[in-house]
Amino acid sequence: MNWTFFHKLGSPKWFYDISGKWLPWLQVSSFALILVSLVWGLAFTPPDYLQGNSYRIIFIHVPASFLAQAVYMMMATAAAVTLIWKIKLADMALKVMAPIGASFCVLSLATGAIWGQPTWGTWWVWDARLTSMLILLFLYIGIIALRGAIQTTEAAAKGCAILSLVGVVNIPIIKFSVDWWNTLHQGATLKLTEKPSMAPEMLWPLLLAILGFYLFFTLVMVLRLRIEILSRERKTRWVKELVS
Amino acid sequence: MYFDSWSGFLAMEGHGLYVWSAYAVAAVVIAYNLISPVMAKRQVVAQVRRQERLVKRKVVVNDFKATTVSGNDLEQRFANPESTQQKHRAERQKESPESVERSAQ
Amino acid sequence: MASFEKTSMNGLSACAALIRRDLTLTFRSPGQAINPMAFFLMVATLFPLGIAPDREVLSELAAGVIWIGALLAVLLSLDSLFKSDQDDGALDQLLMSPHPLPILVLAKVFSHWLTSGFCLTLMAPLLAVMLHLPSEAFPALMITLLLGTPVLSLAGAIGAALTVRVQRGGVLLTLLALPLYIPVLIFATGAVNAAVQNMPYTGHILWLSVFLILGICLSPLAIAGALRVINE
Repeated sequence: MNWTFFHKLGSPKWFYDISGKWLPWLQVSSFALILVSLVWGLAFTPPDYLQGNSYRIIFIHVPASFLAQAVYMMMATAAAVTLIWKIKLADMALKVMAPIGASFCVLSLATGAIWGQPTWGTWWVWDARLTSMLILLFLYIGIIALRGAIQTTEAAAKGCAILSLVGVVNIPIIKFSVDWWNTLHQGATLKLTEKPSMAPEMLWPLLLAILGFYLFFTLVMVLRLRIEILSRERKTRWVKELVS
Repeated sequence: MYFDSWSGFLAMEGHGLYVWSAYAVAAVVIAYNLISPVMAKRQVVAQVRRQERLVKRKVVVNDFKATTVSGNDLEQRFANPESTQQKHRAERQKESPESVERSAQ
Repeated sequence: MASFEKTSMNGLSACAALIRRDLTLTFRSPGQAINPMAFFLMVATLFPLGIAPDREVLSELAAGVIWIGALLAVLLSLDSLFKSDQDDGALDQLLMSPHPLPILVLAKVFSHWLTSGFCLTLMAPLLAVMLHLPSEAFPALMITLLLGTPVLSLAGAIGAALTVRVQRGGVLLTLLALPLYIPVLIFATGAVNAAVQNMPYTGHILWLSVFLILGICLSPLAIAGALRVINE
């Protein structure tokens, strides 16, 4: 097997050069997809027979929730790579992903609360999924805060990596216990949507929106990663030449 | 198009406030994610430029410590061996250590 | 060399020495161990004052109040778990010791539990009486505290190890540890509330035991890793 590709990933300069070529594609595709899917979802799909037009929030709520969870998993992967292979780029990815994931977590919670008002008549329900999302936000904030609190870059990198791994071991436990707790407290859980019962004319814009949000996340991550590379490599010649 | 009119689209049959505020929050989050890298980049570029400027003025600021004549600048030269500025700086130091110290202050 | 062989310890006696040292230190300056217990008592006092002195209201809240009080008291005591050792250099000795660090760390966490979680468990019946917890729920409360507070110490020690170099890391420690505490809180209060309603609570207890076993197996690795990384 050819491992040179893997080793190249460790070189920030290589990544900076190659990611520059991806940026225009990512920009065009993510913006086009998000625009098309949201306009489609807002204006062209029929309303839900139960929830009316308020269900149109789904086209941002579901992608944001998916991303909030997926980004944490990606962070845990980056954390494992940081600890095992000590690849600098993986730690930079771990660092830049945290605020993006947290922002999508906030978006998911905010849109969920706004959606809850017309659907359930209240802004907040101690529903299992909402509670797990809130705890996920705490995990994100913890990682961001730890990164800010530890002075040396190296120690902060490994500390955050350990914390991400501890968090990812705990996510299933937390999810399971919150589900258990919820069934104890209230009998019937209010579900936002039943996925399989979705009509295809609603499903297609949703899938497009999810894809668009994922591309948007990739775009923002690459943008932030490039800046992080510049910042950490600022004493090297190529960065100095690039900037001046 | 599901809605008949523009106002109908905005009103969303009574749910307009909820739908549009949710989309506004989404717009804010997207804007934050787009703007914050731009701000960060500006900061990093300014940082690198400032560093360059200081090197040109013969004062090397190595994050925390300013290297003076007595405090060896080997570390800097090692990190950046071919830098003409460094060579230039070393020569200047031989000529007049006092002037370098003055500018460091 | 023979004398060296004789005096050198194996892993277990090193752990015993570590526990003995930590307990001696605690007994010499008991203030640090008493603070969390005083805090625990104050929480139990403030709740009736803040909500209502009614018997019915309090007995419904008792399980949650006692458990949240215990959880916060353990958090309060965790801040100094590694920090005092860091200050006097004992932590560096620990890191350089030839014995496996996870085992030593487990011993440290055990001695921390003895001086915090275990004492809180002993105090809990007093609080349960003050808060009018129905007497049939007392066994459940004691069992959940005995099984749950070690998990709090173990999970919180990960946060304590990560923040050992951070100035005023108390709030950060809380932020790191709280998500890990949620499963324990859910199952422990669930068990006590089930006992109040005369329902079986064996399932809750078994899950708490699972968390304890998981904690004993996994968290020493994370704590040891964090201590090494932060002190590199």
